[in-house]
Amino acid sequence: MRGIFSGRAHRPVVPLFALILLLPLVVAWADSWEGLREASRRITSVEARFVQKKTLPMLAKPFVSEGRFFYQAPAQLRWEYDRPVRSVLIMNNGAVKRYLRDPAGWREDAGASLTAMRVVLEEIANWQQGRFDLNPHFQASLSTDPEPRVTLVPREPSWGKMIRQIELTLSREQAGVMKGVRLVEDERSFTDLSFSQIRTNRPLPASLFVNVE
Amino acid sequence: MNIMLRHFVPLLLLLLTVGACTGLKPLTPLDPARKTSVLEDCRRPFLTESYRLVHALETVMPDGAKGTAVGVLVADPRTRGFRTALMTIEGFVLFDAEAGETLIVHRAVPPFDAPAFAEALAEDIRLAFFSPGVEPAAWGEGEEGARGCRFERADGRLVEVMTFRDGVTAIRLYGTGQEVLKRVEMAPLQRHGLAETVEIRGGWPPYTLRLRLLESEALATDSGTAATPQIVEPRSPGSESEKGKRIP
Repeated sequence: MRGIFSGRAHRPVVPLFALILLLPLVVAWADSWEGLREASRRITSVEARFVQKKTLPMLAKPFVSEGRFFYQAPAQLRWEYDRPVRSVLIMNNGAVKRYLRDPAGWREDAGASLTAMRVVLEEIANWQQGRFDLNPHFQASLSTDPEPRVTLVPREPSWGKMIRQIELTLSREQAGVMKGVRLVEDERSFTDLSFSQIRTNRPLPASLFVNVE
Repeated sequence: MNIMLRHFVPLLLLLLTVGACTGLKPLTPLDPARKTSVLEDCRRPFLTESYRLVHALETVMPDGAKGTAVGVLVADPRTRGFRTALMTIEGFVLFDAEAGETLIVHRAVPPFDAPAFAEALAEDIRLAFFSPGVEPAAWGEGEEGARGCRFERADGRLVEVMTFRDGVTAIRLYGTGQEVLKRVEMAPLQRHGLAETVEIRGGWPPYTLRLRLLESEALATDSGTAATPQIVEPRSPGSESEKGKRIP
């Protein structure tokens, strides 16, 4: 009988057996804060595509943006939008810059929103390192059903007026990896980010976090 | 006396020159038979039905610093009411307000929480998207062969709508002293009120807003119909204020 147990088909049995042995570890990584931190410590880089859907009461359907995301431990981020508005947000060891594409080429953005985005980027870098409970402004809680999820709720009412809660959905399959983020502003206003084509621990060029292109 | 003249004549000349540059020039009368056509051009820049518009918005401040946001506007030209939201490209809402008989700010993150900002933005939206009136106070030919209309407002201000030979539309808001308060410039229009690009300049300190239309969707009318949403393909690649704050 030819099949997975005969001839060359014996090979998959070993990885399959190894996967069964490792399964409790893979599932368990997101069951505790220590598990999250330990799994995240093993992540040196992340690259992924993302789709962002903005829902507002005044929008009949979500406003959709797409782009790419790069992270290099411990504190380098590149958040790049391909459409509908081309922009690149770079954080390199604390320095944040945003670039926008217009008909004349790339230009640096100096808008007032950049200050707010610096806070957001620093927080994302913390999440990438499994430090979900580091920010004193948020109360973090961890749930595993139906999916591993970290929920961050502002401790102070003044923060709560801006963000009601942040939900970070973790991958069961890829330890240390987030697969989605939801920022809830109120009952009817939220932003969903879903990541795909996630690849970890590949060497990323340093220029990604310095140059716009 | 001579000393006084030496001081005041240049000042007077300067004031006259500035006045000549910024003031209202008379329109040259045209053949009355062309009135329908000219008035139609004067109505073309403005929405004729309720629309939901999404723009990429570039701001240019007096020091030249540029910022970008996404603007969402739901506007009803029949009531001249609207709701608008400004958000970062990352989806963070910076400003959310609606205007009917009063202006209500639902959300404003600094520095967008100043009442003057909300009022200026509301004025910009009304100027660029809502017709200033039905019957103009004057119509005719202006500078560079542009044709257009002038509408008087109840507050004593005046709105001028001019269409140039290349199809570009200029809308200007004049103060009671005939000084230019705001300028709007629109790329040639394919459909009523749906310019692909709009530039708004005005205010003190001066600022510029450049809008690029990303999406437009006609909203349901009284007859219950609504147009298919249009997506415009791109050509090239703080604390919060009190919710529901009213600005009289």
